[in-house]
Amino acid sequence: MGKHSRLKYYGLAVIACAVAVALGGPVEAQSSCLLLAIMASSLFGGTGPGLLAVGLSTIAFNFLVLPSPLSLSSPSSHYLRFGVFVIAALATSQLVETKKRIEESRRRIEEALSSTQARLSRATQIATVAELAASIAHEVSQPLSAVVANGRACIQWLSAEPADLANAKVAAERIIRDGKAAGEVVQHMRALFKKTALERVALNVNEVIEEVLSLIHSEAVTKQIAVETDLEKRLPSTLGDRVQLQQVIFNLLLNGIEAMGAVADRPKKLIIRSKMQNSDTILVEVQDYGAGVADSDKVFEAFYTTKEKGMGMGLSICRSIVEAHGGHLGISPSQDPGTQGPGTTFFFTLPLGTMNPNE
Amino acid sequence: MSKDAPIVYVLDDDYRVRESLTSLLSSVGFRVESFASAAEYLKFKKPDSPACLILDLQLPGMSGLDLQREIAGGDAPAIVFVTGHGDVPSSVRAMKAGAIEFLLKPFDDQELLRAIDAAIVQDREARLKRAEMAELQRRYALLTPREREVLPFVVAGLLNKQTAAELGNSEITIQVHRGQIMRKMAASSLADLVKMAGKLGIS
Repeated sequence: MGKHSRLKYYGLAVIACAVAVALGGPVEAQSSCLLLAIMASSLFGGTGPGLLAVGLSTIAFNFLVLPSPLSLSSPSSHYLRFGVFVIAALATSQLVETKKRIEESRRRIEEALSSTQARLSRATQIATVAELAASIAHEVSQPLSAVVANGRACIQWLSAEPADLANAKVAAERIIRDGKAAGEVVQHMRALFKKTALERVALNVNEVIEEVLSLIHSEAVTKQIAVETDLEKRLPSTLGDRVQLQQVIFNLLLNGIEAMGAVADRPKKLIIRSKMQNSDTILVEVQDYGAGVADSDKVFEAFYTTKEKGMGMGLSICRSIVEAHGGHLGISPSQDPGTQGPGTTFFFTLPLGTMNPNE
Repeated sequence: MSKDAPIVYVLDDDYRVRESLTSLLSSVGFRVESFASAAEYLKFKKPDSPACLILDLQLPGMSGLDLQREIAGGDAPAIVFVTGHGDVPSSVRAMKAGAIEFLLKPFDDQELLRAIDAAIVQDREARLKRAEMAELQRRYALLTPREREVLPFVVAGLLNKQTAAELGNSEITIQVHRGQIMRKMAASSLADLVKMAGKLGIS
């Protein structure tokens, strides 16, 4: 704050006191008006102007409120009234100033928080990308290993005496099949990372689910989780952003896998379902048999997390994506008589072929 | 195929890897058995021939490292690990526990074949050693309790007279025990017997 503006606030304190003196007499509330002047000075000016107002008010109180200004011959009740006023004046200025300081620091914290939030959401994306990269590396290296081994086998069968054409042909066919599989993984990956403006294209939700499953397979195997699918075969197509829906499904599946990390006493099973909720809404469910969720409202809040390393951004991002598609993302406890244990089912709906009118 | 024909076990949850390795390894003349899980592998009745296990690190159910620990010590074949995303701690653990090689997918087929050859050589030696040990133990089991008491003195190089004094027997009794020990252990000389005792951990 510049010297000039500081002086302005001292001036404000003087004016406030003058106004209080001028108004106090006619309304017969001199002390209250003086206290109001102190409040105003402390609130806008801070410590210095506040104390100036206290000083001025004290003098005004002495001359205007006390029947006769303080002197050696004044009765002791005057000294008492004067003392009480001084204490009230100081306390008022302190309280107002403390309030002002708390508000300022809260504002600073809020600013810092929102910038941290922005950085974190970026960090979450990067963390997800890193996890994904490890999973994809495995998905690609599996078929590539098979291609190399089949290629060598093919040569061996051909160079045997006599050449074993039947086995060589089988090996060559497998090379083509696995090479295509590796290519598909790369295509899915490219789609997942493609950074384009939001698009609304007609898509089959089952296809999106299958694409994500092909990327997440090794993560599930590593964590020893059986992934089951129950997809409605005759699912009509819907309009949506393929990449964003992949992100939602990817997030929900990854959450399910992580929720079952500590499960030891029951089968680790993750089920993804698609079906028609009614004639114009598609429903996708991801059901796990993990630890369950204690507070089902909080999970969608940003920064709420039950994971040791989580940042609590995933589900809040998912919800905003689903809502931008005109759908709803929700949670319910898993219910399956065949499996003990709590578990959680996340579900989201997508309207059929219509776009959110707000978009 | 002869009884000594080496056999390669392939344990990988991905059918593409199982198929391709089965084809590759049979094309170079190995007998191949493939499994999708550790449980299947453990259930399989393994023939008595030199073997090598190609083991995926990530498996559903029991992991590769768990299986390695589970079968360690018995007549487990030499292990070649293959993995899609290997990390340093896992590879260190695997190698410390006696794995022949730790290959990253996609692996080089020549490298894999070299590792398998090395594994089978090692397994053959290990099997010979185990067979020899089993034979020595069988012979040792033939000794009477008294003969087992006398054996350490003999291999320590004590004369019959000294041994007799230590055990409070007559020299002639010790001489008879000694003869029985040499015969039952099928030792051609005292030096031979000392070597056998060393392998059995008797001194």
